[in-house]
Amino acid sequence: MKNQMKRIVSRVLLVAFVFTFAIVLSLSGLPNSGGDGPKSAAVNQGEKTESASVKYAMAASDSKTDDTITPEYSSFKELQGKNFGILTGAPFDELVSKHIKGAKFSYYDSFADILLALKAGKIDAAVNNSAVALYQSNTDEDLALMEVPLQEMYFGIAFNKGDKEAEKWKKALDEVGEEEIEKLWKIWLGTDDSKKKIPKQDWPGKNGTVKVAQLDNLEPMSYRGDNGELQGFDPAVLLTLAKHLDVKVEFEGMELSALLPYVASGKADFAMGSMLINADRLETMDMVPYHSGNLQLVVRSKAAGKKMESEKGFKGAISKFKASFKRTFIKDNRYKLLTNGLLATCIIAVFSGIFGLIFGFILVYLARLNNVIINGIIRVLEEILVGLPAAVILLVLYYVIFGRVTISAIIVAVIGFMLMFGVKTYSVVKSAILAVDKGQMEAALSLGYTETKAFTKIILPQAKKIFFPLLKGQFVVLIKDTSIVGFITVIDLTRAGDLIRSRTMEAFFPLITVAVFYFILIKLLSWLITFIDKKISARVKHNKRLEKYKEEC
Amino acid sequence: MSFIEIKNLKKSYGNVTPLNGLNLTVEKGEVITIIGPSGTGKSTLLRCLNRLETPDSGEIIFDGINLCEEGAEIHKIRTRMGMVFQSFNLFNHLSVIENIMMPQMDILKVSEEEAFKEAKVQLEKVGLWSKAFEYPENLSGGQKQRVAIARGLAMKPEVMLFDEPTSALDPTMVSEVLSVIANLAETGLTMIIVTHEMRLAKDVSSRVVYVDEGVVYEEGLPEVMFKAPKREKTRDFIFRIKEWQWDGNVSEIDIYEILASLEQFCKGQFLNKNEYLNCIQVVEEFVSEFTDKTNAKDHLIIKLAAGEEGEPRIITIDTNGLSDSENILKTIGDEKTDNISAKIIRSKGEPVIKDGRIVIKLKESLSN
Repeated sequence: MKNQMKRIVSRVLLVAFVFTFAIVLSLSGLPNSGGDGPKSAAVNQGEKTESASVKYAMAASDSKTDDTITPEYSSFKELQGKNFGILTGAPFDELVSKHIKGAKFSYYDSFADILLALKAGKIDAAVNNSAVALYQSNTDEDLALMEVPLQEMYFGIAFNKGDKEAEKWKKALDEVGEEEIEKLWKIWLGTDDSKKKIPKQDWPGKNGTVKVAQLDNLEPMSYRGDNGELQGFDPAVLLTLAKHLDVKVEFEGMELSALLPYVASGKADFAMGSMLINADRLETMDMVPYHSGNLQLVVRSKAAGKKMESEKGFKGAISKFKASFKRTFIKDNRYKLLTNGLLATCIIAVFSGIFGLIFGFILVYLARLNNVIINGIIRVLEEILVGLPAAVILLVLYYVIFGRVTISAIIVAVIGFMLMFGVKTYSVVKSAILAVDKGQMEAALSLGYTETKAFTKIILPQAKKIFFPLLKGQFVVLIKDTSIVGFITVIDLTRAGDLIRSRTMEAFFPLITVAVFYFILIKLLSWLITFIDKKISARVKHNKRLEKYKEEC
Repeated sequence: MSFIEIKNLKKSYGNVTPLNGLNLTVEKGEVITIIGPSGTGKSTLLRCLNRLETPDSGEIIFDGINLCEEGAEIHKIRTRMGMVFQSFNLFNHLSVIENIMMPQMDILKVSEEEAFKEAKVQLEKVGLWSKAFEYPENLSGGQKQRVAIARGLAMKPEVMLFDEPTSALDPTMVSEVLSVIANLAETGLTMIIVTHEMRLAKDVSSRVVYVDEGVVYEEGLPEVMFKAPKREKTRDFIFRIKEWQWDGNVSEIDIYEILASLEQFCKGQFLNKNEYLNCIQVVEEFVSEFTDKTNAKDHLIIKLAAGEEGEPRIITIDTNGLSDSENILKTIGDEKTDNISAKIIRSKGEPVIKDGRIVIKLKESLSN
């Protein structure tokens, strides 16, 4: 056990070393992996708010001399044949193609990733609504906004086709009035963070509760703020309307691509999250417009890649590093997202591991009955669960099989991984049993054991030696596979890192932290398994007890 | 009523029929050895006896209970029959003593202490008490088989079935297992032994059963069966197991193949190491020195008669088919020959030449 501990400590030290090495690399500026602070005083957002070039949005600037706000490309023509980053599920690609010839597209799950890709030069432009586009280009000196809008559009709340609720909310919107909404728009796109408060749901809620699928990674429209709570312009609007209607709101945060399936499967009453109204969406959903939102392009600024004078040198690097650390962990208690994510990952891994093991052994037992029908069912189950990607299995479970059932996503994740791990356990144990010499069973039978007793007392203990290390390996694979549960709205370790990235627009700290957490978790759990196994392993124990008789003789 | 009665037992797999209406009765206290060519149903018979195989038809009546009837509580009957396998089948995850204790505790429901005492008695009987806490992987084949016998005996069976107990053993280890079985036979325990071990059949058994064509082809007292078997197939079998022969054209000679087959025969006949090396050397010297592969039509016959224990081993080389037969006979027959190969052959035994055959009575040599 001491040796084990030593080994774990040395591994952790190794990781720490790699971690430090990566920090040094990033400080020396080799990989441009973030660490850019908010724009300095050069851009005063407050002033720009007034001189809006687009109706509601704040224009970037009219002083073209500042490189940090001058876009790399000034017209659509220059962007011909360039690569555009598009959010999966957003209808921007068609629109871009309409304006810009030969545009190529890369698809991402969060806008944070798109901006990172943009800064890294993997794509040349990103598309988003005016609010997001402006907010991001204003807070990052490497990014700039192209002022010419791609298209004038409206944000809408998405309801299932023919849902009568839509009328109710539309009416509420009219009654609340455009001015009230406009006030909120100014607050959430402004720079004064102290005003950005989501109202408490202190109304009685006589008219019931609605479930809302809410985007959770697009600042300033809809994102996770303090303690991972949902906030932004969208939730603020929704709660204003809810107050008017006197209904309570239950938010379920998720990625853009999950919003519409979530509503369609009946898991939520409607979806909100800076969804622009277009023909495609109107085909499947009814949409209630609540604010205009033009589509605009974010590109690299002319200053991109050039370092500010003040940030050069070791001191600059240190202060940048500190600021980045603060943004990632301290601000808005973001570390809580990570710790909660770690907890979710642990829960899914441990429970699906235990239940999967039990499920697997039940399958082994059922297969031993040699019933043609049962064996057929097991084989089909095995084929399906082994043959499909884990993400697809989870999505089918969540949206199809448990589509109409109110069930926590984390439970669906546990069920999904239990099934997958169970089937793996079954096939590993089955082949381990086949690997035990046939003569062992015959010898046991010839001594008078029944088949079942011979199996548990003679065959299984010998098979264990073969399947145990294999299962341990499979369990590690299971822990790693759980990183996809974000697909069904569970905030696990990976998704927590993603959410933080969507706020800070930096990759380094969130990703490295997530990597280190996974590494430690996997090491700890596999060490724990080995430890438990050693404790219950029979060989040593038995022999020790028998020594007693030996001495008596 | 006899202790065990087997009536018209039939078993077939596809188009192979190992048992084709076999009848056999066994009385209490008998030690029966079952011999016969490979693939004639000896092992199948034994495995049907404790129902590791299910016979297609026929009856097995054990102490008045028909084992082939549906609903026979076969696992209870199996505790009354011990079985020793060719491949030992010790439980590899248990130590020697646990191998013997666990079945007692699980099935006979005796206490741990009693099981331990019984295990000790049985281990001492087979001379392996010193290995009680070893694991099977650390034992030799012979030791494993002795433990397997002890494990079977600890269950206090009424009959012990041995399925080729020495076939998987190195020749050097066969004796230890044989002597354990021989001792056991003297205790009056009923035993049925399938074996290729003629010593066992001859010296230990009270009755020898020759199985061929899926039936009991001939049976009788060992003296009768080995000296004067009545039926032709039995005679062939008994004769063949005592004699090794190579017969073929010189051009077909593959010295390694010949030596390998000779070696196998020697091991089966329990020639000691010296005797066996002498045989090998004589054959090797003769073949390499006196046969000429270019004479494609030359024909050679080599025989080794193992004889009874204590009798000389005789190698016969028939040179009549060789083109320079006369020369060869002259060279080997000459006491003062200069030919080194001939000298070596002469050193192993006195060659007598008769009708073109060289007959060498190998010198007796003690086992090391």
